[in-house]
Amino acid sequence: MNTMKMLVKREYWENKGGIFWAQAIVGGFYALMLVIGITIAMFSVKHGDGANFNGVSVHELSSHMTEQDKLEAAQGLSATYIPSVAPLLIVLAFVVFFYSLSSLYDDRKDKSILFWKSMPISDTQTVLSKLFTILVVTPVVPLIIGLFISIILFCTIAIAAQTLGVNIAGPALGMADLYLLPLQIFACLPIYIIWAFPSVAWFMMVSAWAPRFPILWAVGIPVIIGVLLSFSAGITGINIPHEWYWENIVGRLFGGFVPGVWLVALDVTSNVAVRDHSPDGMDILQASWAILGYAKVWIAVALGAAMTYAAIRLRRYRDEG
Amino acid sequence: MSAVVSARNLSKRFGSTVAVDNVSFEIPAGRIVGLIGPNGSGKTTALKAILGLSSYQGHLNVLGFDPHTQRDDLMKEVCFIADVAVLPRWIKVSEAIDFVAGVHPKFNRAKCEAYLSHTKLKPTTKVKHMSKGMVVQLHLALVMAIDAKLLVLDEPTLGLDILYRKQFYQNLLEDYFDENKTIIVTTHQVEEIEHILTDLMFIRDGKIVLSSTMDEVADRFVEVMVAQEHYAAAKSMNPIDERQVFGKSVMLFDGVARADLNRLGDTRNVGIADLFVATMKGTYA
Repeated sequence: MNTMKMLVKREYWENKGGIFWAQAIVGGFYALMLVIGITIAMFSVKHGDGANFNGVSVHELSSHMTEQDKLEAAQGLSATYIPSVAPLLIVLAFVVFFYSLSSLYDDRKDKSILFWKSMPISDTQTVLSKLFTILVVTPVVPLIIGLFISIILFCTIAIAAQTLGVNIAGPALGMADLYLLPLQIFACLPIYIIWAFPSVAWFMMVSAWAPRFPILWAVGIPVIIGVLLSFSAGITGINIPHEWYWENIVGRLFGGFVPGVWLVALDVTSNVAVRDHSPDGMDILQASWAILGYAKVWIAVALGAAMTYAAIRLRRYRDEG
Repeated sequence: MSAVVSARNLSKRFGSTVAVDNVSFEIPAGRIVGLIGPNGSGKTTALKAILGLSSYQGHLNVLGFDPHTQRDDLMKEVCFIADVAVLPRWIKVSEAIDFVAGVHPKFNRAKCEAYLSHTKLKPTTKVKHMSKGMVVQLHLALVMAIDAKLLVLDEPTLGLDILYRKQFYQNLLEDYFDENKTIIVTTHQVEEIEHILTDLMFIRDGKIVLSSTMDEVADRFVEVMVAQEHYAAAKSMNPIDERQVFGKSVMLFDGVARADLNRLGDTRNVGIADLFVATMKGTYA
């Protein structure tokens, strides 16, 4: 049955402002800024005003560049996907945060839940379709829009460099990284899904339960517990692990929405074989997948599954007045 | 044919308040039942139990399912309109149709579009830009295109003007209802549904105080405009209600032979509204 497909479509209709338009608008604005910025920089260089770039005055770019410099510039150009997608991933964190929070609350507030519940859809299907849209559909959008931005960025830089008499586009197009990097970042998507799942599940559970203002409950409960723990520890002097709590519960909960935080939070990079060059896409990919070796990642996933189950039960049995 | 809804000792409490108090009733197939009661009498609570939207005590069977534990199966056969304003504000007409067509195996898209062609609704119109009446038109078009065995309407016309209300019930009766379908409807505008009902159920303080077919109601309850000289005689026959109209007494009798009443003055069948008022006297006292 295509019920699940329809439910995901329904989610997209309702939330396309966050899923698509927020990314498209931020991405479009960002691309425009990059193009304007690069163009201005190019003209200022061309007209001899000069700009200092890494200690090298760039108006002398073409004449002073060694083959090694050009290679490095081309390598930089082949990695445009990272700066292109990064701001969108920050937007993604906010979108996922607010989407999870409203997912099972908005239709209770405006009573349209009674319409959805008049259809032959189980509450399990409803909750899972929302979870799928939040964790899978929503993160794919910035990755794709990032691709477009990186193409714009690549072309703009290539043209600007060409105008200054340096051909870096040719060598860059011949570099494997140009094509591998987006694939490597895409391949981190399952890690984001696993990483964000517990945070999203907590927000959805609160969203299914909160009588009003889910944000206050979802954010307030963990923070107030933390404050109480820290206070108690301070006053009584008893060794309450409040620092552990802040880092592993509160920090993990909110860090769960942000892509890439796992690289810092779990210190995975130290476990990945150190290689003799600057970090590249393969390093990010390897380090990301390495988090699957951490028990606490799986404990969080198990908690996420339990909270998802609770969200389904709440959706099913919560009496709405 | 077996009952569509069968309740035995059905109760629902909210804290210390008893919303539905140990009621038992049966609704056979092919009926249009009016569930009528004052505010807070337990109508909506009873309907929510029937629709599997809330928990309850006692025994309840809807189309062979336990609505609380088998809601997912039940909803393939049941549809409901809970209130006029429950369509999501962001949805477009075309999206609403696509959605129901996508998830409901018994939805007839052509039928729905035919209903909508008689309205001003366009596929691109969003619910938030519709008047209340237009929202109901859309909701009704969606629901009437679903071939459900049981349709539950809880105050479907609340806040609508009389044109919409008349049209609503007319569509319901002419285009939707047939002998295989059962409709349960609650409303405060009792006069307006009087002519479409086959059965009547009065609920008061969580108890069913009257449950009978409309034919039985007509046989059982008679209103008499009592002539002055028969006033004492009429009074001795224990009318359940008495009111004054243009200086004359109008009395309502329950279960008194019409032949006897004819002698007291002009008799007529009682309207549901008057019967309701007589039955519910003192509810808010």
